[in-house]
Amino acid sequence: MLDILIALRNIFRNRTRTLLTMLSIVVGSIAIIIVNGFINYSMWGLRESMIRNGIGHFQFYQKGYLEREEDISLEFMITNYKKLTREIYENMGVSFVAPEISFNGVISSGEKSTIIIGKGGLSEEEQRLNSFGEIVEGSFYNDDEFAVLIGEGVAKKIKAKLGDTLTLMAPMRGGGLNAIDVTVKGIIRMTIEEYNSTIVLAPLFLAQNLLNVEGVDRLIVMLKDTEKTKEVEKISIDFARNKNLEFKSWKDLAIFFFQVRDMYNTMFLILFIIIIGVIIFSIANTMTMNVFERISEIGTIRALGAKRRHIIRQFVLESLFIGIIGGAFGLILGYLIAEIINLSGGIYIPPPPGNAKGYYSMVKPEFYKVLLCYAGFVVTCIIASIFPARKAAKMEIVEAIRG
Amino acid sequence: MAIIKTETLTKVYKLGKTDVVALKNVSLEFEKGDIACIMGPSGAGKSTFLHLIGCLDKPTEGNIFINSTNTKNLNDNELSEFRNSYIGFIFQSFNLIPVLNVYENIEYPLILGKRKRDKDKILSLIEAVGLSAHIKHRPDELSGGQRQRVAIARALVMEPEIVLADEPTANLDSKTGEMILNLLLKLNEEKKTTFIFSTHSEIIAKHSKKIIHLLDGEVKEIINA
Repeated sequence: MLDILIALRNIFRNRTRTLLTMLSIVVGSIAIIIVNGFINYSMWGLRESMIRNGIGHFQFYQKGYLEREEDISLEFMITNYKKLTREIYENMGVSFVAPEISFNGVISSGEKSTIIIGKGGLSEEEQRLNSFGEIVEGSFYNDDEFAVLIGEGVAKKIKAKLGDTLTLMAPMRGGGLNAIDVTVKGIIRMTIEEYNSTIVLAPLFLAQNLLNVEGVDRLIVMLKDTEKTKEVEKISIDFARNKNLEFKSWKDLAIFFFQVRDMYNTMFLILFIIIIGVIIFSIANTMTMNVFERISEIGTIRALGAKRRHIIRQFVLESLFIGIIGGAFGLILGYLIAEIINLSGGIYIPPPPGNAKGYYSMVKPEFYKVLLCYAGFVVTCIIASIFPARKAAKMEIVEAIRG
Repeated sequence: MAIIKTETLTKVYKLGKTDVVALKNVSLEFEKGDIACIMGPSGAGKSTFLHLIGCLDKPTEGNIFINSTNTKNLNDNELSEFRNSYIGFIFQSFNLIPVLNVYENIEYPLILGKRKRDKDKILSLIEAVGLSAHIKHRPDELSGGQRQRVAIARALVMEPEIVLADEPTANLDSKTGEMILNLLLKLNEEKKTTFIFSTHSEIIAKHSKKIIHLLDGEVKEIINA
């Protein structure tokens, strides 16, 4: 107990030096919290934008679909999709299920044409599935009308406006080419630039007529919360096995997300290592100076009967408290700054590569990661103090007493 | 039986390539309850002798027996325990722990020795050295004499059999020095603690039962009072 008291009193013996040392930990903690909060929010945003830009949380396909040779194949249709949809609702407690069919085709305004990636789906489900997309003009189609939504880039390419009649062409099952006239009901801006210049969303019946099929090529399942992925995944895999379906989770489909996440994690690790380096230098420097200033005191304590390990413990304790106090202040200040940033509306981030628009990033630190970094800083303080502490413990008592 | 016995104690310091002999073949004995005084000019080896018998340093040659234990056979941890239990130190510069107050400074050896932190004992020692009004004061709030009294109380709290005092009154005015000496003599009388002083002070020498004169690291004269 007295050791703790001595350590606490000693760290405030030279207040300026201690505060400067703590400052390196405080600044390091703030940096960790802000950077982690930014990365965490960005990763959350990227993940949700990918999921809500059409991927969904899970997708079910007809057996064999995943081994198909073409990008889009009409050979593996789920024909009993209505029944399966009902069963998914009953068994999995999901938010919604979107039956969907994808196709490649051409859309023409008469004057100009462009290649498109089409998606046929039910109006309500598609609106929710593409909730990160923004309808810049018009509205979503109804399930029974010959109308489509086209990407902002598609509209620009073929000079199409709201209400225009366009011709949608696509190869049918069996090989022939089919064409249907459709009205532009809305123009949509997707968050991913590439989608904008190729996407056409059409009612499910229209897509089925165009392609001359009765089923859908996938059932997209959206959960109420992405965090429930693991929980529902097992049930989904069992469901797919029982129904002779194939299954993929958003984790299999959103490869880009994991690439970006790994890159950010590496950056975060580098930052953490740099901060650790600064703390090691700062603590080692402070402790070395402390040892030199207290040589006579060390000699006295040894003369009174303290063992070498007691001296080591004394200096390590001091360093530990600097870490604990500095880190705690850093945590409080870091969270405070994060809250101020969030309350002020976040940090504006210009459109990332491949994205159509920028966004305001909030700072949402992951508590467990921040806590881990805090523990890392405290451990670093201990490690950094060991060398000076050992040096103090190894001093010859007689020389130390003389100072 | 001698409480401290040294046999041909020699200490050689290396200063660069030169060997400096601080003590040479010093063989002495001290009995329990002795008040002994090591005298001699600066560089005679007084402090070196005190450091060696206080287990703060190791001799180059020779043996030191304290309570029949040859300190040569003790490792560093055992020496620490030995110092804590058997020897009290009073230094010329008081050497108090600056962040601890009077009470805590005196209590500290008990904690190091993992002994019972006997509050009554500490308070009675504080009373004995006349510092009851300064219990919560830190060393920088005390005068030189008061600091030395704290150091005395600290040296006695473990009830050591031996107290080694290196120039205990050198940094004090004559009146305070005399008061400190009287305090030590009283403790010697009451507890039969063995006191060994290293000093230039004639007053201390006058009260000692044994006076050892050192010169150039060798015993020149032993006077038994």
